[in-house]
Amino acid sequence: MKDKINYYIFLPVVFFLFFLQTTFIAQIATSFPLPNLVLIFLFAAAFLSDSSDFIYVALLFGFLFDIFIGNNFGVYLLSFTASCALASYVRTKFIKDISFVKIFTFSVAMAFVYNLLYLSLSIVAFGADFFSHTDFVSRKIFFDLIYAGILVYPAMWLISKGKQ
Amino acid sequence: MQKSPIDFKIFIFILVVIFILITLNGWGYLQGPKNAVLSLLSPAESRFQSSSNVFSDFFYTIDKIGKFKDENEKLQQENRSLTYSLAALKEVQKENEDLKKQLKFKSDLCGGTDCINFEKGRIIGRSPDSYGEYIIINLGEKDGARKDQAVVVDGGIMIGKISEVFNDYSKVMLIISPESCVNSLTQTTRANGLVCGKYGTSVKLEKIGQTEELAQDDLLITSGLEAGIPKGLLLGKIQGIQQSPNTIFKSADIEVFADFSHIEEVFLVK
Repeated sequence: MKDKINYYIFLPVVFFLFFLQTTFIAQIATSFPLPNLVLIFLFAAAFLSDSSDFIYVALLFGFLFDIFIGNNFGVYLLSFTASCALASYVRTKFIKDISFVKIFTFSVAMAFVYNLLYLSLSIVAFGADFFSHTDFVSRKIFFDLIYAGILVYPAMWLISKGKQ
Repeated sequence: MQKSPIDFKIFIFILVVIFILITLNGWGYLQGPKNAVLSLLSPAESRFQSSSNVFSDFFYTIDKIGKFKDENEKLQQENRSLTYSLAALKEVQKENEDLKKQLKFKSDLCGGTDCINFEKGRIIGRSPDSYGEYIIINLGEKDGARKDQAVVVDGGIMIGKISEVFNDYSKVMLIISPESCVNSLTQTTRANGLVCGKYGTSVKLEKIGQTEELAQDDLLITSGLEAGIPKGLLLGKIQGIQQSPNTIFKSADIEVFADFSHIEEVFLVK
């Protein structure tokens, strides 16, 4: 495995996923919780990359998501960057080798951290009444964890292909 | 190979950048860069959106084919009922005009949504996550868009209100967004309440006093009590009513008229 991610391939793919997310997926699945493909891709990068350069990509896409999403500017910037930094730290310090179970656990745990960060920041920004907590857990976090656990494998495969 | 840990200094630098961006946004200095980013992304976004519409229409049609017969019968029945209502309303309108003439009132022909100006626009992007439901439209400050203005689709059906305005674009918070609440009125019983979004496509009528009446299938319209949202825009139809003597307010599930995943063109209410 090579040291660094090939950003000439990685960045266009993330941009493609961003456009896909804001058009196709958002349109097809309006009534159903959606996977955050960009974030899952970044978690996969955290698992595979030997450097933490992808944090800048997290910063860029956190900014773009904040522009596209709404009233709470900064929530995506912070939650994207912080969860990706934590992902990089956890991978470096605690995971020495790659296995199916470790990838799954890592991705699900990071998705959970991201959701927790998002929820906390939104509560700080809008107050505790803003979210219906039951809905948030059942309709958002639950599905996000499942998506993260499953979709991280194809994302890792794609990144590995790009590195070769 | 051992990975190098994330540089703490870089992380702190990024956090500082984020806080500077948030502060600049709070002061309104990011409107220009945000508009520039949207302008930069909108050509690609529009292309993806157009392909997405074709793709979505294809699957929508396939999904609908099986339901066409039932839907057709339902629509024909509704059409007959509406034709009758229209005829009755025309009679009432004529009677009203005659009475006004008799009473020498100055005639005001503005009725319903007839006197409202609309600006046509199209969707160029949708919120990339399901925390909130937003769309981005190609109408901005230069087209007369203002914060909190209502956005409708064909038939005067309100789909949301503008939450952020840029020079060439606007961000619209859909009524299904959990952040959205619109002051509304039930058409028959005139009960005043709030139509608030929930996760996904569900919308609920809330804050209806215990003394107010709610009727199944009653239409919900905007009350006109909010700035930027005129009275009479359609919101939905009451489906299930929840009431209990132990609660302060009644509530009801609402069937929204707009199909949020297939909207392509919108109208800004001016």
